[in-house]
Amino acid sequence: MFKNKRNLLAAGVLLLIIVATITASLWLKFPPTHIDPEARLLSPSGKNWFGTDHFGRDIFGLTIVAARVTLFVGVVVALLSTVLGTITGLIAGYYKKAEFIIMRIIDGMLAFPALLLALALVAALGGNVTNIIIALTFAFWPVMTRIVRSAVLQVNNIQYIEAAKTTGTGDLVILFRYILPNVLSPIIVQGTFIFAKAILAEAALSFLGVGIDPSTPTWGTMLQESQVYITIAPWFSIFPGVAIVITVLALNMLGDGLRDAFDPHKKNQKKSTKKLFRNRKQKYA
Amino acid sequence: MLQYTIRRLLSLIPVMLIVSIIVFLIVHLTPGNPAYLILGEDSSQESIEQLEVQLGLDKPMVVQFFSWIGNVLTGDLGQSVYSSEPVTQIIIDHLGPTFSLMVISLVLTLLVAIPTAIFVVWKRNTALDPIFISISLLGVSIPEFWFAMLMVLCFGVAIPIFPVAGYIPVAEGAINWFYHLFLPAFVLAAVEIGLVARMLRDGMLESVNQDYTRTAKAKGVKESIVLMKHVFFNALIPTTTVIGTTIAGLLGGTVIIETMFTIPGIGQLLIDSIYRRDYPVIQGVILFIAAIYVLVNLLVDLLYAVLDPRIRYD
Amino acid sequence: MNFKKHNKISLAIFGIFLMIGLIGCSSEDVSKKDNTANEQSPGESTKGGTLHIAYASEPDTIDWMYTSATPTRDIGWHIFESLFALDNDYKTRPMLADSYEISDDRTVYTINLREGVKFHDGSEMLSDDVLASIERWRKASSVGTIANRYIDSVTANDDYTVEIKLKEVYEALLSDMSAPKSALMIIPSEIAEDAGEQPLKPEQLIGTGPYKFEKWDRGKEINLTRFEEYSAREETDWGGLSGKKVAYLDEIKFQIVKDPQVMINGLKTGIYDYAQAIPPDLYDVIESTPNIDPITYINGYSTITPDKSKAPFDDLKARQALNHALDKEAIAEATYGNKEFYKLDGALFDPDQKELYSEDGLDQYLAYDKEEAKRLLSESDYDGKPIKIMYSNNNENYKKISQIAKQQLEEVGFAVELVSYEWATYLEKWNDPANWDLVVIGWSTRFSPSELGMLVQDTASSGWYNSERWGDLLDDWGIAETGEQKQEVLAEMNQTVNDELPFIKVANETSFDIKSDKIKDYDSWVGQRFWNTWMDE
Repeated sequence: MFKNKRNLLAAGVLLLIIVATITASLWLKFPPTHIDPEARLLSPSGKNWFGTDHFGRDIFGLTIVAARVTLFVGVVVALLSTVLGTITGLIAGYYKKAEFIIMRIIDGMLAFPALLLALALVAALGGNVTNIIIALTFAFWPVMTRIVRSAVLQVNNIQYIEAAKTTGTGDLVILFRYILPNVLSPIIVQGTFIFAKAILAEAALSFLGVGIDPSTPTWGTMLQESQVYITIAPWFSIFPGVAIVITVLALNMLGDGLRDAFDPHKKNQKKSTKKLFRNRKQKYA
Repeated sequence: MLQYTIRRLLSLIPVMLIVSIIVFLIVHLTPGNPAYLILGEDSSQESIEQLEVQLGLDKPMVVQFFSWIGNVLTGDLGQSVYSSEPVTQIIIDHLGPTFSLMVISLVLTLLVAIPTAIFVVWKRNTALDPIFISISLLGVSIPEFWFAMLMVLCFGVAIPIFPVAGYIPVAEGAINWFYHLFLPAFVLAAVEIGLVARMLRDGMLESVNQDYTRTAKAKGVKESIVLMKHVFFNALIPTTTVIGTTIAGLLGGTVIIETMFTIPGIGQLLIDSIYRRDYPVIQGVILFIAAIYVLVNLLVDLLYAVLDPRIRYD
Repeated sequence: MNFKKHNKISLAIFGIFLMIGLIGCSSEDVSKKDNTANEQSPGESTKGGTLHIAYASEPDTIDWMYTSATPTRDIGWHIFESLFALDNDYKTRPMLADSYEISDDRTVYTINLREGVKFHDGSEMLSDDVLASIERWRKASSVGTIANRYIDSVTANDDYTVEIKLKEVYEALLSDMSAPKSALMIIPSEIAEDAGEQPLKPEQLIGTGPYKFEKWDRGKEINLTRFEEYSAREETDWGGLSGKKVAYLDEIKFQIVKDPQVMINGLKTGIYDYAQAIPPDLYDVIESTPNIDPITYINGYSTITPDKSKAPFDDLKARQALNHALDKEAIAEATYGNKEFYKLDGALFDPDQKELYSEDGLDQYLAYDKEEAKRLLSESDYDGKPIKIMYSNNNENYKKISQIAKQQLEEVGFAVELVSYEWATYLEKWNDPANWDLVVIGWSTRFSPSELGMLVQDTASSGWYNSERWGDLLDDWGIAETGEQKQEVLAEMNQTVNDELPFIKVANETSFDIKSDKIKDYDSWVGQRFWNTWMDE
């Protein structure tokens, strides 16, 4: 019961953030990117709930609007990684010959801490939204490949799939009609985790000053800008950070909850922990 | 065991090959000519062409790759564009601080995570468990750099009990070394603690339900002794893998933490080199970190095989 | 080091009290505090100690003659000296020169050198070295190339006498020779001849200054050490770059640190003794921090320079649109925050520089008018392609100006892209017009019109400015003798910049540095100089 409530809460929070940021222009009191030198670094008040930043912008509004780019990067990276990872994972799990090559490449890519790989790529490509998405996708999809592949290996010898193979059903049909639905749950779970990690990684890259240019408000660029003022305007650093924590926590809870919900053997502690182990290892590999 | 070790060592070859291809491509992905990067944009066409020949940039990419990899294998990672020093030497110069930071935060992580996990398993049927799960999820949801900012605000500004910048080599006094690294190491460890404790808890819960545990309990052995003797030590085996992933997490984190706390390690070197577009150094650092990471995983796997002989028949 | 541990605990308790105290007294007027003057310390000045300076931008060279970049200047003037130098009130004084005479027709300058002045390599400075250095200055320095047009010949009468013959009267010669940027620094003749128009290599950094170059760890630090055989002048009351200089410190380390928060934290923990370019917003915090003193000084002004070699800003209409689009009041207020740290003044020189300041010809300085900007833009050749604003990420102020400028320009119809680089890379990128359309940069205080780097014709630093009108004015300046004549030229210079808009001035800047209270007898003038200052350990 507790778990379900938690999932519901997490999903609700995410939905609220998404709706808030999309409809921001309809209900925000101040245009949040408007620079007002008269109102610099004001502490939180009834007018500016989260205070104002070094350009006199309303931090509440800015945090809401910044969610757009942040969430956009997160969603796109999660989707792209999922699609790429699923396709390569399906191929690697299904075709023995392709497996060797694909998995060696994946192993090689997983030899880098994800953030460092993304950092190096952004350094090479240059920092803008598109390149951040490319770099983060590159850093995160190998994990998905590995998870999809091992899920495919588990269902590969289920009887009806074996049967379909012997009756000469086309590979594509087998892969997408029979195997994919069976491995969908780990994909969704992992996709949620990648979403969460992409938000953290974007923030880290922007914070380090190699990410999105500082005039585009994202939670990461806001925190980067706030660093100088942390002693005189701590609210500037605190609120965007809280926004990240809430969003990422909601995503992680959702992923965690989905994993339990999808797991038919949940009652059997042994099995589920084994799986958890595998996933953990893959997640941080 | 020997056979397994050899097999595991051989499997490194394709991995490292892929790693080096990726690292090599990172530079060749960059728009613009590396010779321009080295000489500056306003240099003459002749000097650029001359350098291209000298660096082998006029040759096909495959040839360039093999000559680069040949140098790497002899320990030559090239020369910094910025300081003209050999990259290998630069990396060696920056190793000490990073190594110190990693060791302290790894120890901190294990020191906090292990007792926490034992305690949570001991109290597994109370409300403590779901609270613990939530806290550990919170742990992986906090951006490291933001947590660092808050810590600096707390312990550097509001209650200044810890230094928030600088590094003192251990040779100049172990106490001072530890004192200066404590806050950054703690920030670095904080994110990992939740993760490691959660994995330990899961591993221990698994053995709680094992037959030998039930037998021991049935024999009337005290709960705490059962936990320590059977459950904990059995859970330690999978924990070795945790160390591997922890090191990966810490390696990624050092980049941010070193920059924020002014620790002259390889993380800060990487960021500085990125600002300077010093590609040979970027290349060298990334390759070095990947190699360390692959090596740590190898050691962990071998250790795992020693502790749990079944693994070899996997 | 261990005694520090106990201190920390008492410091912690103190910190808590401080926090409480802070709330009560956070807004004080900066101007009331006299923080730039010499503090007289009761103790005796002592030799020794290593000074750690957190310096924001790493120079690409320390050749003080070769470039007018401020980081080069700040380090270079410890190592090198020139024949003439500015004193505390920006007046020209002899430095390596002992005395000088000007002929009645004002075209022959006879300069007597001081005897027994040693270079860092141990050799004595003689007229040969001065000849070679002037020769190099005429080619390699942006100030020297202007003076070069008037110089007929430079000869040595003997080892200690140099004679400069001019083609025509050029009243600005002495001020050019004492320019603290692209400076006429005196180096050994072999080095000057060997280097020619190339920047000096690290091993060629041999001067006569109180500190000598020790080593340069690229990307990390630049070390200077005391020059034991330095021969000082006698005058103790001149100040600036002239008069008596004593090197009290054993060693000066310029350490490259980008982040102001890291600088402040470092100063608190004692890893740095001095930090440069602190955001003015933090002034109140610094003021109330024990053991840290604020340092303020005038430091030129911030500018936005368009690249005039190609579209869109080769078109005057586009530059006028740019000028009208920028709300400088808002930019300055949002960038510098504290009103004590900026002045809205469109002139080429600072009001403190009484002989160089003119308030005429500034009607276009505050011309913010969005509608007018839109109109001008539509009349210009601008085709809607994104323009690139380039800035260095080593400086918070220029980053902020760039961001606000971007927003203001977008409001009138420009498409804008921001690009930032670390300082040395940024300087490199500056040289190629392909890399930028607008560059945001500050120009430190200048002391002569020939020193205005943002107006040197056909160079990257001026954004490839090319103007006959400006060239003629420089000629007029060369022959202006009386204060009145000079004022006339200066007003006309302001007007020219107003009409042609080679660069857009944002606001006069006051710089904000911080130092540990261990540093005694420090005088900020217009930049960091660490002779005559000492450390109390």
